[in-house]
Amino acid sequence: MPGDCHYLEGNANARRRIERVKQILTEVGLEQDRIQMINLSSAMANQFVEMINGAVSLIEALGPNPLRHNGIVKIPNNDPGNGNLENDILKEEAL
Amino acid sequence: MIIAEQKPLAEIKALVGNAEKVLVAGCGTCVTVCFAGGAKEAAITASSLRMSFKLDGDIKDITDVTVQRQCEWEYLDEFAEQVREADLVLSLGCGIGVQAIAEHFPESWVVPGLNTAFLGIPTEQGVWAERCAACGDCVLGLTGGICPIARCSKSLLNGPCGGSEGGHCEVSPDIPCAWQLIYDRLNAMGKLETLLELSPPKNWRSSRDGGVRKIVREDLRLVREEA
Repeated sequence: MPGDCHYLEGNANARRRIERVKQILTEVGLEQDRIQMINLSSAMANQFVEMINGAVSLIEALGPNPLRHNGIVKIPNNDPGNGNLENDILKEEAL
Repeated sequence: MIIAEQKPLAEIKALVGNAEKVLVAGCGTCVTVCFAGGAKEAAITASSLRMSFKLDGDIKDITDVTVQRQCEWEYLDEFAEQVREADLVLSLGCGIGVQAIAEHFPESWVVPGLNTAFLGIPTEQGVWAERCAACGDCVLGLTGGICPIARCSKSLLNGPCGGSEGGHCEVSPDIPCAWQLIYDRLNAMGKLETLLELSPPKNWRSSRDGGVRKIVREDLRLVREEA
């Protein structure tokens, strides 16, 4: 939970970085709601289900990633994990 | 180091225009340290451009590469082939890097992805502040190591002015008054008498007032055979 992260200030750092990713997505032309951050503890099973259901409803309302082509996800030949936002997004969408 | 920040993606897209094969060029030195144009930012920018143009129905071939320094010829040679194959190079180097690419590859079109801001330091993670104005005639020996040219909003040599209030500048309460900082430091160091000597008007010819600047060190130049 905020202020009570196993990795100390880790979730506070993550939240600011999620905001930055939302900015980038908006600039790119994608809906910023495609990425969400929620805080939960391991003892909050009911809230976890609620939030996941909410996220699923949101994604369904937004529709498929417009960068997908006929359901085929093409991963560019760039090194993964080096700030390659496109890879990360496409991989997420492929799941 | 040189501090820069990325231009908005919309402005970068306008600069890219109709180019089909785009090389996003990062720089591994100053702009890496200020998180504006290093390898990570080059990859993110290339990804963002690919996605954004694709959403516009415009499929472009956009790749990225990062060299150690864009401001030296030998590092630019490392990606010469990629530059020549590209319709356009989007440099995420500072203004020097952009110009170095333009000068080194006269046949290639290069545009800036960054706005070069100032010479400064990271004062904390995620915060950068100006420290040097590159005026060409350093006065830090008289001011306790605090630059009145870069850090006083009026670049006063005999400050503070009447706008200094509570140790802050009248331009913005977020700006510490450089002359307050200078006074406090000289006081702490027992060197307040330094301030008794007035500085004469500065000779700005070593700064931009003297036109484009250049330094030549004959002792370092390569010897050329005399005819």
